[in-house]
Amino acid sequence: MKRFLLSIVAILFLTALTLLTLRYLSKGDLLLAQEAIVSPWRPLLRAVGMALTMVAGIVSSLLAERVTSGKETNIWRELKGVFKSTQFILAVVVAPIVFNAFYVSVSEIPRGLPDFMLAYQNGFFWQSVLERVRQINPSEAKTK
Amino acid sequence: MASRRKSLLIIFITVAPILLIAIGSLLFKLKRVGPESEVIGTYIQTGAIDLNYRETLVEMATKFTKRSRFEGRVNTTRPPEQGNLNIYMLGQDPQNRFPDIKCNCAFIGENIILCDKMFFETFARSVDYTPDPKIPVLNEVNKLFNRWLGAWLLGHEIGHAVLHGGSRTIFQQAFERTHDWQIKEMEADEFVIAHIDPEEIQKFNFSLMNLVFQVYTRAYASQKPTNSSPVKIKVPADRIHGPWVQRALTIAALLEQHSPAGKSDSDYLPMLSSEFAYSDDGYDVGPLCDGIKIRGPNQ
Repeated sequence: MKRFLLSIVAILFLTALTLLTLRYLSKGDLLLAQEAIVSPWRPLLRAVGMALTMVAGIVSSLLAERVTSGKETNIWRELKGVFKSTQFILAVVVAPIVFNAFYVSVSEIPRGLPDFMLAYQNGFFWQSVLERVRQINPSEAKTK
Repeated sequence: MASRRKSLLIIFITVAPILLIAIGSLLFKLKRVGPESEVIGTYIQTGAIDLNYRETLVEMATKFTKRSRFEGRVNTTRPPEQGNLNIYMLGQDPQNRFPDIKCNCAFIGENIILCDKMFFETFARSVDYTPDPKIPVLNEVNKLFNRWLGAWLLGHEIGHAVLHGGSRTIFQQAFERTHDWQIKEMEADEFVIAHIDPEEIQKFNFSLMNLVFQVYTRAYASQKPTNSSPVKIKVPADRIHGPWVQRALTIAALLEQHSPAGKSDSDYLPMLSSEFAYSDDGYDVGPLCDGIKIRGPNQ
């Protein structure tokens, strides 16, 4: 039953995230006559939105790990456990590196839902992203 | 345990479609009766939308909606109506609900086109010649520019509404990428050309060429390029809309193909185009707002 509730919570969370992105963060994708005069806050808001989406991905990843390893699940206990775990602290510490790796891979001006989904995905697979960054030659990373 | 899982699965199968329908209907509602419609209704009542443009808008819309689903279905004075093409000239935005329309014109979905009045006026009069009572023809020339540059702007947005409006839901908007937008921009400009009558091609072309020459003059004056190098024109940062001068040259070339005489053998347009280079540090015509024109008496 708890797993089922967890699924519902996850679906609602994703729905809320999608609606939020559609309504506010992706807003402005109009068919304009010329380049829009963008508010200086919007790119910042989008970057913050993507960073939060990525953190949500990290939390989901750790939560999924805990849920799949245990037989019985208590949502709140597992969620609390995520925030108390050393894995979470490690993930938050390396989050800027993961975010940077993801941010350079999207367009210069982030826009649209796919970028937010990519942020979530990068957060979810943060360990793989970190590993990939680690494998890059330092001199190569410098030029990039 | 197994029967419990089974019942959970049944519950999930039952709930999931309901949830999906709920989400779908919520999105559909967002699409069908967007909050923009209500704001536009308020703006019409309070005068923030300028209804004095009715004639201009209807005249241009009549031209560009021919043989489309919007033929004879243009609304410019009432709140947005489903099935009609709703075009408005925004004088003010007191609730700050359309920040993207500032210095712009846009198809915002739901068959609604919104234009910033100051942008429309400035763009349509962007290459005004200073009126001189001794040269009355200048007034006529200015009227010509005003009509055709304005027609380009509105025709382009009507093109978006006709070509890209039917299927453009809020979801599709969110998933579109820069490349899709670039294609749509080109299609909207081609739509304008397709609706220009053969006898009007010359007038439209004349207006475009004047825009090109004025931009060249401004860019040349500020850069003074040596060795016959081209003048540099700034590329918009969004990488979706080309610079106005580049768009004007592209349209002029396409107009030539559409003219009754057909494509010319002259290398005039290619040579003229080669006088322009496009870069991030080039001359910028600016947002064409608040009465600051490319040429002419500024307000």
